[in-house]
Parts: sequence; C-alpha cells; structure tokens
Amino acid sequence: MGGQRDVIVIGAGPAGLSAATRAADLGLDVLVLDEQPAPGGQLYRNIERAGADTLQILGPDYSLGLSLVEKFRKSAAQYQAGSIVWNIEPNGNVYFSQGGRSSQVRGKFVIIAIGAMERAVPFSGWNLPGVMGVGGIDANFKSSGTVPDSPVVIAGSGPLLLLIVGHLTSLGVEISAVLDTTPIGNMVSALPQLPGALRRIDYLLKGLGMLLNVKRTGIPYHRGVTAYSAHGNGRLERVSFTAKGNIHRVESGLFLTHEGIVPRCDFTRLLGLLHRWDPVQRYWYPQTNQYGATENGVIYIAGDGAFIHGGIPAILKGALAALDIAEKLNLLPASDKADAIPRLEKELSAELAPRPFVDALYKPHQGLYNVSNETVVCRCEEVTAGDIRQAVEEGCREPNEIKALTRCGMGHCQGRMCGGALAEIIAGEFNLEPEHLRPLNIRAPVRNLSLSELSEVVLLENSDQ
Amino acid sequence: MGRTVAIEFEGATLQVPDTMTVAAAILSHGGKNHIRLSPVSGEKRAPYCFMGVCHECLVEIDGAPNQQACIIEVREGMKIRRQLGLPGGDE
Repeated sequence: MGGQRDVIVIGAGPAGLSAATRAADLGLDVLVLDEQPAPGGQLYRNIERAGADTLQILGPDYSLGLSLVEKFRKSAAQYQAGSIVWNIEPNGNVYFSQGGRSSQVRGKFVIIAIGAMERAVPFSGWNLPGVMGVGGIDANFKSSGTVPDSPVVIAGSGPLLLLIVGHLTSLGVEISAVLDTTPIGNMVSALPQLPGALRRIDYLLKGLGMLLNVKRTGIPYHRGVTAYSAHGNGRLERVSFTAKGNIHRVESGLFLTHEGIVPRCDFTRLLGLLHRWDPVQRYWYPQTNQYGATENGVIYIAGDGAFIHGGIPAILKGALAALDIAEKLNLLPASDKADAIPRLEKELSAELAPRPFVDALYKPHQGLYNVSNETVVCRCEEVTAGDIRQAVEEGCREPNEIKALTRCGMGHCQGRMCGGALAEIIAGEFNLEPEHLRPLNIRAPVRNLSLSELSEVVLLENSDQ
Repeated sequence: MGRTVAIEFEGATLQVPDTMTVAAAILSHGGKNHIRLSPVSGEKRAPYCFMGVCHECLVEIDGAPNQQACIIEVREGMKIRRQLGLPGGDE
C-alpha cells in the first residue's frame, strides 16, 4: 500500500484549502488536486496575484481568501495545480491528468470539494457569443482584470446577482438594465423563515445594502421578469424580456444571466452515491452526515458541493471533514475532539441561520424551464427543447433514454450544462418533480481525454517528488 | 500586475499579462466574437461559464485540439487557434 495517501482533496477552493490545511497540520499525508493554475477556487480565484485595486473592488468577502491560501501554502499539504481529475473509484482510487499525462493515486480518504456551478437554464439565444453566466464574467475579471467594454444587461435572481452588479458598477461598466426574475410573491412566502435569519442580522443588512446600492446607481431595474431571450446574427445584439406582462427590448453587447447556483455532482453521481432533491432551490445534492462523510465511508464531500451554503460555511465544512478523517485515522488529539469539533459545528450553525430565509426568498420562479421548443437545450449537440418533448411524446420518460435517442447530454460537457434542464423539461411534461426521474448517468472518464491519457496511467508512489 | 508574455492567436501576436487564462486573453484581445464553431451546425460560440464546465471555450493550443481555454494559463510563445468544426479538420 505504498502509494496510498491519508487524504486526497479534490478542489482548491474555500472547502478544499481549509480541509487540506487542517488535515496537513494534524500530520496527515495530504495531496490536493485542482484544475486551476492557482489556488482559490471560484470565490478566491487568482487571489495570490490580485492587485490592491482588485482587492478593494471585490471587498472583504474576497480578501478573506488571502489568509486561507497563505496558511495552505505554509502547510505540508502537497499541491498539484492544473490537475484534471477524471475518475474516482469507491475505494479511494483517483485518476487525474496533468500536462497531458495521467496518474493514479490512492487515498485512504477522498474529500471532494469541487463546489458549485451556476444553474444552467436554457433560453432562446443563450448559445450566442456575447451571452455568458454572471459567474463567468466574475471569473474573467478575477483572472484577467479586464471588464466588458460594451453596455451590459444582467438578468436572473439571487444574492450573487446583486453582488456582481455592485462590482461591475464600481468598475465603471455601463449596465443598461437589470432584469430581476425573483417571483414577487417570494417575499411573503419567505417570511416564516425570517425570525431564524434575524440571528444573523448582519447578513440581512449586507443584502439590503447591496440592493440599495443597485437602486442608488439609477440603473433601470425591472422586477417580476418572467422570460428573457437573446437575439443577434452570429453575436448578441439585443435582449428582449417580459416584465409584468409587457415585452421590452434593449440593445446590448453582453448579456449575463444567473439563476442561482447548484452543487456539482459529477463525481458523486459517478460514484453512485445517494442524492436528495431540494424542493426549495430545485437541485440534487449528495447525502452526507454533519462531517461531510457519504455512506461510502471513504468519500467525503465538503463545501457547496454538499449543499449550497456559501464561502465561510465551506471553510468550516472543510475543516470538519478533515477533523473527522483525522479521528478515524487516530490522529486527532483528544483536546481537538472535545473542543475543535463542537466549536466548528456551533460556528457553522450560526453561519447557516439566514440560509433558509435566503433560499426561500430566491426560490426559482415556476416558469424557469418553460423553454420554447426551438431553444437549444444541449449546447454541445444542439438538441432543442422540441426534440426532447418529441421524444416524450414518443413514449420516453427517463433522461437516459432521451439522451440515447436525441444525443442530449452526449457532447463535450457530458451533460453538465443540460442535465438539469433535461430533467426539468421532462418532469414538466409529466407534471412531476424531477426527483421522480433518474438523472443522467455519469461515467468515467468524466473529462475529455486523449487516448494516451486514458491508456497510459502512471501509478504515483507515496514519496516526495 | 506582473509580467506580460507574447502569445499567438490565429497568427496575430498578443501581449498579455502572464496571469491570464487563455480564454481571458482571447476575449480581451479581439476574440470576443467567437472562439470556436460548433461541430454540429457550424454556429459561432464563445466561452460561457469560464470555470471548466461548459466546454464552449475549446481551442487548439500548440497543435493539441480540445484544450479548455478557461482553465489553462497563457505561456510565452503559446500558439492558439480557433477550433472550426471537428478537431483536426479545417472545415
């Protein structure tokens, strides 16, 4: 068993960095695999090289990552940037490709900390250049420091939307309109959750502050938007939208949308782990215990990949996973067991107090997946909502059947972008919730590989390189 | 900001900060209209998610097709080409 590490952490975002640092500090042999060139994940992307102006614009929520990354760099955790993990086996075998060459390594435990992605919601024209996810423009700014030079239209719902509007305005980007798709009735239906959220009034005030900031800029702000689409010939030229029953049009060079974020379940699906459906935020999440352990025992999930809780909870969840694993390896000092674990749990519970309110407030609107028949759902294979509905009419009911019939989910992204929408569209045809359907199967390799990356795998020994 | 490196995109030389991803470099230097053509219909596509999920940013780097431009950083002398249709083909 010479090639075995104590823990392999996949992902170097808030949860992964926290888990790796904590585990390494307890004396565990830790390997971190991350596909990005530098640590930070999406939230703290490129933070080590961020200039003072970037830090100022992105504010304390971003610069919090500085100390996290610094502690990680000082720890004994081994870090392999640019590593694309393409298979994980239930026994802790992890396969990854780096610089075009594949390796295999085995962990006594594996912590999957790959976080979340923006919910991909198809709409007419979303495949035009000039249409991006809000998260995409945020990542581009963190990575390059560049900002859009043409007027931007932003649509969707959720706290991240307001945050990005704030960032873009402080960068001097011209925003022609904000299209808010949050159902107006959510404010009322979220009220029962408000008392719990008042435990963290600072969070609520911060959210309110973001909203007021957007109002103060005087940007046209449309509430109750129920549909939007992008138009143009080979590139975005115009956005149209329906707000309170009226159709509007606005010229735009860049259209950014955001309908919330969802856990990335690529690996947990690959591993065949149990998933549950969250009816409020409408996403699947892998089932874990309070330390992130799955029913498999070897595989842990930390951070937003387990459930969407945000950055600070991800850091806490990462630490909890590390401590639980240390305990299983008999490397956790008794004092930590008595103190550190309960303290972290208490901190996490306080952080999560506002979450049910925020989730209810930004519950996706009902018509989110009323996708028109001509709209491309699977971007890779250009399968439309009409193709999917046709397959349903022909007697199909399961996403995997429809994939086989239409190629929806069979392209480069392997169904990551269309899998959720496919299930929602089918469920809509049957008046069901997607939880009653079986989501797309995920098989290894979960990333595009060359044949040599697939056939020549080097077994990594447990030695310092 | 740190150093800049020279990369080549579709034959044109670009000077970009060495911390940029390939996708960011192309988008901010004249490649915003498209980064590839869909192999199915040939329609123009550009990076969408910027975080390794959507695979809309696939480019050819130094002769190797299907490289994810949004998670690969620029390097001095890197040669990048748009992927037009199926990888390896010129159509």
